[in-house]
Amino acid sequence: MRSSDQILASRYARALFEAASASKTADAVAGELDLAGEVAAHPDAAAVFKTPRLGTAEKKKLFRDLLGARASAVTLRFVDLLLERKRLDLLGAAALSYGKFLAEGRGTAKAVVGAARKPSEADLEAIRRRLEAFVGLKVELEVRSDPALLAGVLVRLGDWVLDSSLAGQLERLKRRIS
Amino acid sequence: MAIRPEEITGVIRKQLEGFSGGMELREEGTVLQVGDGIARVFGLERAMAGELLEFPNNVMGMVLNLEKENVGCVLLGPDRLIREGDRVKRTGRVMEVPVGEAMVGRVIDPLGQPIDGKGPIKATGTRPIEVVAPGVVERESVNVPLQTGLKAIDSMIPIGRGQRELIIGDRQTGKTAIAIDTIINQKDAPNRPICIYVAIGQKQSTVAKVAKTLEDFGALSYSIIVSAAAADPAPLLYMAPYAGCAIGEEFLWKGKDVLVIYDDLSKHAQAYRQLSLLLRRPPGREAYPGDVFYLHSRLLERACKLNKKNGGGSLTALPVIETQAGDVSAYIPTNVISITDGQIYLESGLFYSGVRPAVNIGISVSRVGGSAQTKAMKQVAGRLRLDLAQYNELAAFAQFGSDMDKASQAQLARGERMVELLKQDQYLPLPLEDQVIAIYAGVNGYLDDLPTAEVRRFDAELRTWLRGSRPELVKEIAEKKILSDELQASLGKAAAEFKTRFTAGLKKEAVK
Repeated sequence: MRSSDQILASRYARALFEAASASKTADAVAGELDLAGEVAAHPDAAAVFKTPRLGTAEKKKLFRDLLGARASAVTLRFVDLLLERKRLDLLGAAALSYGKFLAEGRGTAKAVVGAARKPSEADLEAIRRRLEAFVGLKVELEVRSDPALLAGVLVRLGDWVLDSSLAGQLERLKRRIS
Repeated sequence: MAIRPEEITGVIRKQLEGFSGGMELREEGTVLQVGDGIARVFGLERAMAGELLEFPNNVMGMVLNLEKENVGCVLLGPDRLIREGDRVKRTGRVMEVPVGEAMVGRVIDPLGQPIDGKGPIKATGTRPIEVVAPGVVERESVNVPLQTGLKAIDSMIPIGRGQRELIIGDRQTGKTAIAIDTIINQKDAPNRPICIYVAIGQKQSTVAKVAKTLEDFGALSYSIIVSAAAADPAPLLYMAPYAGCAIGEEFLWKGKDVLVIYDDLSKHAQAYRQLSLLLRRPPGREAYPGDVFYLHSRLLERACKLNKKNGGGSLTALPVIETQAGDVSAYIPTNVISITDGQIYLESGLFYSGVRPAVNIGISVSRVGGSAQTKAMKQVAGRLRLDLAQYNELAAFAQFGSDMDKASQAQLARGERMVELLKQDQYLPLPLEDQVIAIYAGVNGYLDDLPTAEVRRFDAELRTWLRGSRPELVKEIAEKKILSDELQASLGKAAAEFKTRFTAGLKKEAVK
């Protein structure tokens, strides 16, 4: 992706966020956007949405059929707009930016916790408390399973990466010895 | 020396025992776009301009552009090892280069890594490559000469320690030769300066030749060569002069003298132009970016003479600029001419007519070196400049072949012999006293009635003869660095005596 696309995606996301906030559906739209992103990224669907043989109207109809009742009017119109402008490939980046705007609006930050095994609720609570003290905002945690870490957790919060995984430790040891 | 496997195991075990992996807090961004030695990285909101970034596969990058949502950075390694989506780590450090005594005598790249195959360098510390130049209160004016060993330059375009003197000319006019001669001439100089030769965008073979030459003349033991060759990525070319300067500053602040040669800054500007255009900065004149003047001024401002309170060190800069077909009004030459304290202008016309070094005296100047020139040289060189100026004026006129009066003919004869006298072979820099004697003989008319072809032989033989039979005169010039009336009288007498011998010798040869 080009850096100009990133800026573009964030503009679309900002517009969607404002529209969704006005209709008080900002939270719901976030989930729908992720869903739409998954649909668009599905290999079969992606091929269809990229082909120039289908017209925009058909693609729009197809997308509406795929999402069905699971998406609100705002989200559907947003996807329509992207299809019309031939910028569906911005959807993923726009969803990311949208999440950021949403968190900013709420005064919260989103952290992704990668873990080799599912951490206990108490552990997650402890991580959350420490992260909140670190950034000074309320933190929402999203847990993802990542067996490649071997053990321990790796937390991503914005640009920050807190690495206490075994894989990371081994990597650091390797660099020290070589 | 054999290494036992148990020892290696022991070392590894020690490292393992001392290792506590624990936790690492870092900041990461992702690569959006990579190519042409440039990468755009998403995120890294807290990155600083000039900060080093760590890419995968041990490639480092330097932040140059801070933009909304992303940073533009240049890669200091091969860009084909980097892919879109790779994670990039902040290091929190700005670009640094290792410095210290251990660098002396080595050939290194702009990152401070040795490229001469003489093993690793045990540097004592590092210095940031970009620093603000010393201010007014830390400096004093130039007052110690830096002898190049070239008659034409030391007499009429004197260079002082702490000065910035530009060497400018077309390709193949002997720009590098002047720089190398200057380094070689420092061998026996008092307070011998550390010489740093920064090769920017040159052929590897040229750099190897320079290293070999310096080694052959015993000059590598006080020199450092920083090489960013033509095949290196543009960011390395861009960094090379700053790295060379930073290495020099380590010695400068220890009160030592340093000579840095930037060969050449035209290539440096071109490397920077490449980076700037790829980073999508707007192009200006000749497609150079708007801050190309600042690029060179901030580098050359770091040349200075420190006052006693700050150790009295000096950093002399000899930047080299290559012109195209003698065009000094192009963008980069005019910029660097206006930044430096004077220029040595070399002309291909002179070079091919056999005047080597091919210095055009008329338009070469040294704006501050005069105050650092030795008294003895000043006494003889004043006349020299005048003689040459008059000769050049007349020479143009004399081409019409018109009859001339006695005085004009005398001036022409004098000028011709002066030009001949100032010719000098490569790698043969002369000490101050030899230069003074040669020019003394010239301006006082001892050469006027010799055939022009014999001038150089006369000059060389006079100097050897004086050293053999009048060593006290040579010694007095070298030590007192001033020509007293008595000294001038005895020098004149000696020169006259030698001349009778020399002309007698000439006659004998003619009879044969």
